[in-house]
Amino acid sequence: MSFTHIRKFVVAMKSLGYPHTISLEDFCSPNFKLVADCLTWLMLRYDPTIELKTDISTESHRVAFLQSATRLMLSRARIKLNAKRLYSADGYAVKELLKIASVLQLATRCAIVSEEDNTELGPSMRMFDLRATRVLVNEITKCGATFYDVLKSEPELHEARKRATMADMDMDYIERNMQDSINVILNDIDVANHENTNVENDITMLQTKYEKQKFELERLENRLSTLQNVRPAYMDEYELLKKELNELFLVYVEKSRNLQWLESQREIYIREEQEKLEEVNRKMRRLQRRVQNEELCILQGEEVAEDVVNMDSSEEESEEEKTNSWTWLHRESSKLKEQEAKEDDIVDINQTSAEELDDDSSDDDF
Amino acid sequence: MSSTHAVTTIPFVDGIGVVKPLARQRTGAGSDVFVVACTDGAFYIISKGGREEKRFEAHEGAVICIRWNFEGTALATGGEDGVLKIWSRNGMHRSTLAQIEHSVYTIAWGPNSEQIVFSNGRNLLIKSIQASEILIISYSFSSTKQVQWLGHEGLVLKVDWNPVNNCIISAGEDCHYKVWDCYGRVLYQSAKADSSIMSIAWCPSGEAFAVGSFNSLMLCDKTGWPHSKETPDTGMLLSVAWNTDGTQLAGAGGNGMVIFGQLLDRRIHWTRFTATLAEHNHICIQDLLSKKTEEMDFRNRVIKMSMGYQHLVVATATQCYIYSITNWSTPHMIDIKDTVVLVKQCQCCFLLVDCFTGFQLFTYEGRHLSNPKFQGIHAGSVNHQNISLSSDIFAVINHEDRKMVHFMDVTTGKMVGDVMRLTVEAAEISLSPMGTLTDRKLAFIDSNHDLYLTPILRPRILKLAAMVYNAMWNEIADMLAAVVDQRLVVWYYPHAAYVDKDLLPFVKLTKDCDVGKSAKIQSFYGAQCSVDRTDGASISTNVSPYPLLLFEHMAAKHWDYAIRLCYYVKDNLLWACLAASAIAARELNCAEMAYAALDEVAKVQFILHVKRLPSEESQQAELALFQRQPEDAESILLQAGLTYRAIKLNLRLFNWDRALDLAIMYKTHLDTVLWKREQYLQKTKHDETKERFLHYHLQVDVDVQTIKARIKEDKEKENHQTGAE
Repeated sequence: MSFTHIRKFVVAMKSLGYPHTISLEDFCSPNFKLVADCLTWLMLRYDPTIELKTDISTESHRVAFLQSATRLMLSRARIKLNAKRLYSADGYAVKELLKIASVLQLATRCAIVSEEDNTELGPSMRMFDLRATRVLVNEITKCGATFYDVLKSEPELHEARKRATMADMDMDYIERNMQDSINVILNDIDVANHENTNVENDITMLQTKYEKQKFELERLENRLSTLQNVRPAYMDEYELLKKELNELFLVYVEKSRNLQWLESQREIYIREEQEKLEEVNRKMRRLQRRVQNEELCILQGEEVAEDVVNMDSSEEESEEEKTNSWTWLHRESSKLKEQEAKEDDIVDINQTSAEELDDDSSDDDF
Repeated sequence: MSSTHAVTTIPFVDGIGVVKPLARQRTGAGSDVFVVACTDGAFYIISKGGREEKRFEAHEGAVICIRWNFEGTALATGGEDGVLKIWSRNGMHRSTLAQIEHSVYTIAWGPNSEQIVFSNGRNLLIKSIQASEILIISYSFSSTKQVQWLGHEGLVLKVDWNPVNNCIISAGEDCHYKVWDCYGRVLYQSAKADSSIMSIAWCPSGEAFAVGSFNSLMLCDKTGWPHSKETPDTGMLLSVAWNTDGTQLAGAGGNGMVIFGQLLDRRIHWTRFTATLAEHNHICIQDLLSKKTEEMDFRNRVIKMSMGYQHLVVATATQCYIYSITNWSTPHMIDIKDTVVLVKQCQCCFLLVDCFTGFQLFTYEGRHLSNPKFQGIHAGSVNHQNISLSSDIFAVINHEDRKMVHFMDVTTGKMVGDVMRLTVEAAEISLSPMGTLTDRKLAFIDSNHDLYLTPILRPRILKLAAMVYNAMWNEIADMLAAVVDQRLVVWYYPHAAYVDKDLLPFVKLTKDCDVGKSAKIQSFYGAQCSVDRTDGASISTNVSPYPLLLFEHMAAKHWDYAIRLCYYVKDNLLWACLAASAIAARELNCAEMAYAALDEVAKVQFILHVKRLPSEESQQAELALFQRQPEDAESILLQAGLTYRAIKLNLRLFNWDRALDLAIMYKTHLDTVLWKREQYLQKTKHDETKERFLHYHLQVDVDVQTIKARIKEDKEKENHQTGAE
């Protein structure tokens, strides 16, 4: 049974604010020092005026200490402690100490509760709140001033009142008038009530309409969000086609650029051809002219020799040119042929070398 | 059988004494009973209605602690007399486990209910309940009979052991609480509190624990640092306990008060969204970009929430809500039968684990996919580490034998492939998120903290790193981040290990940030990575965004863009990623450029050689050889009927016996094999020792001219074949 008592004691001492930590195993073996310390601390906590001899150095001192402690507790607190059990300083001693500790714990708990009660009494003390009083004072003066003003106008009002009471009254007339005005007012009330109900109906109607619209809006918004998330069926195809179109456009651009370029090349070529043709024509015309001149000379029969000699030389020149050009052309073409042959050879060589390489590489050990 | 465990303490006085720990256990049959330990040395089994059913004399002096095991099949009691006893469910005395000098103040069952940890004065002691062989932890302590270590400077007052994360927490009179691993190594020691700590309890999920002391109740992270502290006016908190879903807790105060608590302010992040549990049934979602907030109210208590892959999954006590981040107003709903233990998400589906139905897979539209079931898995001990989900495969570590990893198909729930058997116990597994089943890789960390990688269909285990405490795949790319030796390491393309191992150092990046010991990677999305340190600080860090762009281009097969990106960035890392994935995709031109940029001349030469090969099959075979898989290469060649090439391959690998086998099997090129062998022996100046070769040397004439002619013929035939195709 000692475990629960020790634990209860430890917890109680902790909540009472005992400065040292008590271990659960401190009372397994007799520990008189701790028992004495706890006892003095608890007694002082119970009544700070208690005077105790705390000398526990010898056996007789310990006995004296316990005797005085038990006597004091019995006389002051009416708590009966078993000095023998305390002296054994084990689990049973804890049971004795727990008697004081539980009383103290109960007391502190009650004290906390009564403190709370005290705080409830507080507001009556705070009646004389400075700010509230100041406000009240201001109000009182204001009221006094208005009261004075009203009293000032009393004499005039007194006259009027007197006149009114003095006047002779036709009770029937007054009654009829009153009745009329009452009826008018009742009618007004009816109309107002009617309007009121109408307005209320309108309000409810509008509210339902508003709710409906709101609901509709929510629904539509939801639908919109879902629709926005939905990808249209044709989208895939559209994207595909778009991509295709882009590709086609690129091809088209390239082709048209090529076409443009080719056309420009053609134009250049045609122009060159034209120029060549014109050149030939010019030459032809020159030749014709020269032949005509010669003919004229022959016909005239003079200075033949010189002219003929000139003619011959020029003709020879032109012929030389022609032959030159022919030989050049021939040379070029032969060169080209040679080149082609060479290239063929190279290709052959490449092929053979590639084959060889392949063979080599596959024979190599990687 | 769903068995749960709740412990509450209500101090009240009756004729016998103070009734102390009150352990309640619920059985599937609906017969609810609980046990009460009393100070007169007896304990009672009491029915749900409060009727006393049985009384058992257990100890001399008070019974201080009593606890059911996790299955609810056995009881352990500890008494003031220092005896620890095990009882069956019906109260039969099974064994006396220990007899110590001190009172047994506290006991806790270990995972699988095979071990018990209890206090022995200042020490903590672990004992196996198998009476004959008293231990326990198989290898390191096999010589000793039990594990005992100094727990606290004062008496150990409370201990608890979590089956999910396998960690022990203890509290003592020295005003500290400590977190231990199951070998008794301290993971965390708290600062000194104001008074001794009398109660401590794990949350069932193992994510947090509660610490009760004099007028204070603390909620602590599983690594030990405190989340929050409350100061209720209860005196010394004698006991705290969680409810089964780990969202509420109760505490018993020394002055007779009972307090109840609710976990609030749980927060999860995903990209720009933050979800906060503001009240027990109210979630607030913030969009940091548009600064909008969404409020959600639920009918029941929110138990789990998980956000990722464009969806938020919220599990309440009765229903599961699935929100898309584009539409917070209309969730899909699923009914739940039991308390959800875990929610795990992947690209196209998510997993719900509860104790009643086990594993359930759903799509994000709320459609039920499958219900995988098999032996050796306890839904109660599932956590994020021992389970992994990808869009087609679901992997889980066997709980009874942690050396086994099971794979299941997501849509059918059937087993895929064989059970993977490892040599060392696995601690954490993670599946790569992208690609198809053939590309799927499993990264796992074993109990020695080594990180390995393996494909699922044809296991080929490769070690990536040692001293790894945590690893995580990126959510949108096959990038692997891990905490290696207190630093953050990212493999941008771990698949490179299977293409070309030499590229692995290139694709690895070590981040220079101080993450400290056993940090945990919290999220890894895109180029963003956030790491939680053990002290509770969260570090957010960036990795290079270029690999992500590169992967996008490669996924779209835009190899030219990929090359352009690499030229632009001029980083060997990118080139290495490109090289590996180009080889994997057989983009030889691309691979050639990438290897050239990496200055790998030999590999460029090889790729050029591969490009020159005439037939598709031989190219494939050479690439298989490049990926260091000669068996694959050989089978490709043999399937295509290129016998000469297959023999040649083995000759190149100096695999003489296999070459000879092939030559004999296909009855060709026997002389070629013999000739090459002869050449080789001449070069290395050795004599023939293999008997088979000697035998065939005598039988077959080796004529170099005919051999060369035949080789030429074979080559022409191959060229002709490809030309005909």
